[in-house]
Amino acid sequence: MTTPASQPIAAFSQRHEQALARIGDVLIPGNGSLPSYSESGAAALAPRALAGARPVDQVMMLRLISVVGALPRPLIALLLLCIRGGMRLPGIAGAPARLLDLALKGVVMNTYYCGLDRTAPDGDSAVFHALDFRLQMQVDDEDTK
Amino acid sequence: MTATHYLDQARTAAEGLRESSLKERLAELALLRQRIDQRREDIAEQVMAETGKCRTDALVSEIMGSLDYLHWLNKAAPAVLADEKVSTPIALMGKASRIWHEALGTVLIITPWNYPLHIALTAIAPAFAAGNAVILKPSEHTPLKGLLESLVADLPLLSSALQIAYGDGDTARALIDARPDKICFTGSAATGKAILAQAAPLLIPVDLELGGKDAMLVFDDVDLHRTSAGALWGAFTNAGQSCTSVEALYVQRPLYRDMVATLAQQLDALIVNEGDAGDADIGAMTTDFQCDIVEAQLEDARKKGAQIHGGGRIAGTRLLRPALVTEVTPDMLLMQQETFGPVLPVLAFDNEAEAIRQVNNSGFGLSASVWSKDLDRAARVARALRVGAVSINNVMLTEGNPALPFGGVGASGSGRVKGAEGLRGMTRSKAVLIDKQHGKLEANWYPYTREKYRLFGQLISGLSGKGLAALLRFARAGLQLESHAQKPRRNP
Amino acid sequence: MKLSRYDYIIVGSGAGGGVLAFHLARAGKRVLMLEAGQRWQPRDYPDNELDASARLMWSGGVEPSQDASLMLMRGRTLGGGTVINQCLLDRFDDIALDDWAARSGLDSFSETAMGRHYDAVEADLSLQSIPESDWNGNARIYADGFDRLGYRRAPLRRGQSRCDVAGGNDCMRCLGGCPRASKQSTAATFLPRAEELGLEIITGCHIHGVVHGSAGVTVYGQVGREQVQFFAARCVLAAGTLGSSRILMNSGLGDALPALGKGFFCHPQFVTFARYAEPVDAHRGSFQALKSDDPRFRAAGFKLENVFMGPVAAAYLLPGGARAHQRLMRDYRHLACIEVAVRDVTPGRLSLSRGGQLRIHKSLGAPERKRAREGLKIIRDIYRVTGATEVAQAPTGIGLHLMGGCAQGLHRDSSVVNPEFAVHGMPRLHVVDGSLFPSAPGINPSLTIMALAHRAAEALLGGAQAPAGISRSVPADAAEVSA
Ligand SMILES: Cc1cc2nc3c(=O)[nH]c(=O)nc-3n(C[C@H](O)[C@H](O)[C@H](O)COP(=O)(O)OP(=O)(O)OC[C@H]3O[C@@H](n4cnc5c(N)ncnc54)[C@H](O)[C@@H]3O)c2cc1C
Repeated sequence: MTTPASQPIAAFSQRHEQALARIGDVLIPGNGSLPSYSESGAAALAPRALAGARPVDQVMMLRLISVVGALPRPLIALLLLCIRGGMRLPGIAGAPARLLDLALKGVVMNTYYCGLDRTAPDGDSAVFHALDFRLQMQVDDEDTK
Repeated sequence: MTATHYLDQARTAAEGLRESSLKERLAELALLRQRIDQRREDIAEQVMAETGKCRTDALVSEIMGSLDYLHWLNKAAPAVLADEKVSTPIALMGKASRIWHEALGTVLIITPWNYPLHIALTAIAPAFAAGNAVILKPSEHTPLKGLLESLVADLPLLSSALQIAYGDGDTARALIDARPDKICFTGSAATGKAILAQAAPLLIPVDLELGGKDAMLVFDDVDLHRTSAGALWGAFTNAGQSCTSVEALYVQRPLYRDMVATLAQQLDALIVNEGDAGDADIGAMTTDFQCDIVEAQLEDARKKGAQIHGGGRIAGTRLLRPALVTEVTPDMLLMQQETFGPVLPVLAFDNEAEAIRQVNNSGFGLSASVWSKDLDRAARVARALRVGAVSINNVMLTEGNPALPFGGVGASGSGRVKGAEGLRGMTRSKAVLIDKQHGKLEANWYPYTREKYRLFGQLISGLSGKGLAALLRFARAGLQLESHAQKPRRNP
Repeated sequence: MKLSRYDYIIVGSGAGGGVLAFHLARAGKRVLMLEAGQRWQPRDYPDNELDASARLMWSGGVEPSQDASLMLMRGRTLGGGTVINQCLLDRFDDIALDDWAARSGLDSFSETAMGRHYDAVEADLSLQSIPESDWNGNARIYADGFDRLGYRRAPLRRGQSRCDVAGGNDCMRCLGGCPRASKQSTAATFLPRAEELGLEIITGCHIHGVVHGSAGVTVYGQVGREQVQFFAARCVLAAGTLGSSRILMNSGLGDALPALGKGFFCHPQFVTFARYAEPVDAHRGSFQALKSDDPRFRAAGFKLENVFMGPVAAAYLLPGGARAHQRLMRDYRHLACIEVAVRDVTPGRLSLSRGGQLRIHKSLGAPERKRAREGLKIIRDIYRVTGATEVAQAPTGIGLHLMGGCAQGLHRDSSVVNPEFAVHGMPRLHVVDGSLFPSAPGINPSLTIMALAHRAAEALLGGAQAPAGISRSVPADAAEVSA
């Protein structure tokens, strides 16, 4: 709706990207065929993923990424563990953990598993290769009349 | 009913009112005030239906403004209308002087369609308080039929003192010919002139509250947000159909661009609708012809090169989107005539003197506002403006205080309503001098003699001289005159 | 300068707005539609989940409830939810409608009274039941489990015209908009027909509020950074449950409408995955083919859904620490999925924060938790009897069917919209979308939203013209367009 340039997320910087990659690597360290989060370069997609979020949420995300991404890796892992535990708390007590999960896991999974990485040897998505995932859709001109 | 009937009845009622006390009349006005308050939502509905006003305009300017005025009147009237003692000069020693503020008799009030309740009430109430019978001729566009009648019903004095003659210009002309003691007219300059011309040979005094082309002067040291918001309200309240609407905004050049941008942004957020629940900013225009005037002025301005932001009439309604006009030149109709609609021309000025000249050149002179952090400058400019009212760092606010007089200069009319002046305007001052019964003749009475003439000469030099010696001369001459006056002309 | 005074402004272009716009335009009314989302050519719809979320959904994807136990989704695009939904179109039964009649005081909520409205919208849509030949591995597991455990199932009926699943097309792509314009979104059906009949549409127009007046309604909002307002004799809010409630609250009508924002429901859904040794390929073809059709489930207040989702959504919903999670994701093709959708009875509430942000108060009550547990137990049984190697339960619930908030009914204290579809006390302001629902039906809502839009068109056009009457009053060529 409003141009992305006018939105808080336009302030997503190299530093934010690095911080997000650090968080992502804890959630997706990579295994065999699956690249790690940072290898996939997914963090760079964050502004595109968050472009539709409400401005207040964008501001929160930028702060959250900076703060969490600045922690040492074991602390990030511990935090994510606490979040997973906290999510089970019912009602409002579990809300902070679930919101953090939505924010952190949400943006990491979204940017990584969307298949927009171009890190496979053939220039395709290495993630989709690893999943052996592809959707087929025949679109001809007549179809979209 | 013919005009003569109205006047006959009014004269009878005026006679009857002479038996009433101010206190009794004010008590009825207090009850009227209570009723208006209790019925304010109904009244707002009726006003909205006839005028197209948005609800907040109806409530605040029509009802709250009227209640405010009635409140002030109740408090202020006893002092303003009280018999006055004035000092008596030493030459008239031993006598007492008084002024009595007496009713005029019958007052004809002719009101316009823009504030049908407020303007009517702020004329009726002081006229009645002062002891006059009133004939109201409301605008045929907004008669508010039955409203005032129902509000004054079973207030014995007020209901007999107030008559409402519905009709158009013909009705007004007939009523004037029937010779009321005073005419209070609020409306356009053209009609004002016609009324004055009709009243002149009949020697009926006329108060005229006519239109304006009111200016707002903004210096470059103001708070942009507040000042812009003030300008928009001043220009668009009552859809711009106020005689004191801001019709020309002069902004000091360094601030001009920013102010225009802020105004445009704030203007876009204004909601236009009628019959709302208090959530529309600008209501409908009251009449089709006024819509046409506004649209014609905008079209003329556009043709002559003006930039117009906003504007436009919603098809099938009398709703006009407010318009901001820049690149304004003096040859445009909207700089020459009253617009009386939601249109705000914005002009730039370079210095104080130029701004004052521009404002004073408009021919009109109703009110103005001056905006600056520098209050000395603001006051200096305010004094230099040829207008009846100035708000400093605010807009249309003199009208917010019922204690202040309201009225114009030049083409904006003459006479004052509201305030002590307005109340006194519903009276004639009767001068009274009281002497006692005794046998002495006054020195200035006959016979005139050479001796008296000489003594008067000494008396005058004593009066105009200074110091104790002069006073003594005056006293001696006075005493001699007095004794001389008792003697008849000497017969040979 | 003349500014338009429309006969109708419709805010929102989804199930409610799209159908209503068509019928009003067909009756010759001058209609303006205002939609916050963008217009897309079908072939340009995003081909990946990231862009689909960011560009077709509100708030960039999901909106959490206040306690974040539910993640809610709604479409923001021309066509609204119907562009990003699965287009499963079911009629309501008397279990749902009787409850509505009782709550609203309206006997027009019954299978018989709704029948002709369903008929009318169905006649304008292409509806197909998914044949067994189009089943993928996930559907077969679902069917197998149901059959072994003795539960009744039925084929799904979907709004689609030419998916060509046999030709290899994967309908999951259409959760980000159907590039073949086969899925019967309003963007592919009612809206183009309405535009041919003169409907004007402004997209990218976010409405903030309305001002109701004696001769019309002013509708104000923003297009980009520009503030705009429009005027119509009548305004219809069809901005969806969250959208319409928000517009009314933001217009300051909360005091006048005590029931506004109350009675919010969302059919909470809980997803359970299972891993199988052999590939399931749940994402291929008609990725939803079957539904539960067991009266015991209906009575118990839940449904089991044969469903699947793209890698992003699956990754978000799969539980576990990094390594376990990665392993499950790598086996994406081996995953099956069934969800339990609960007919919720504990009403939620919508409100605005001081800063004007929408707050969704919706927590799971004891009845919802019980219903979910019962369904989850059956899902586990299905996985067990079909030989799953591992079962994984999503940690958060989701809500896709957003309903209520502007309930229709007779009384102002318990409803917002009267039987004529006008907001109580505001004869020119209407609501026609999922927010009208007096309670959660436990059935896919959008066909009924469309049917209500058809009924609303009749109410607005004056008199209970039969749906056929509307069709008959149309010139032959216009009728053809909609055929
Ligand atoms: C993933 C998913 C799958 C679903 N599957 C099914 C299914 O298979 N079957 C089924 O029946 N239902 C399904 N639903 C639900 C269904 O899509 C919705 O119930 C339905 O679309 C609601 O219709 P509506 O008219 O109430 O609102 P919507 O379709 O949501 O339309 C509202 C429109 O208003 C616009 N809007 C909102 N606020 C504003 C504003 N302030 N200014 C301007 N425009 C605004 C929105 O952008 C939107 O386009 C699904 C939903 C989702 C999210």
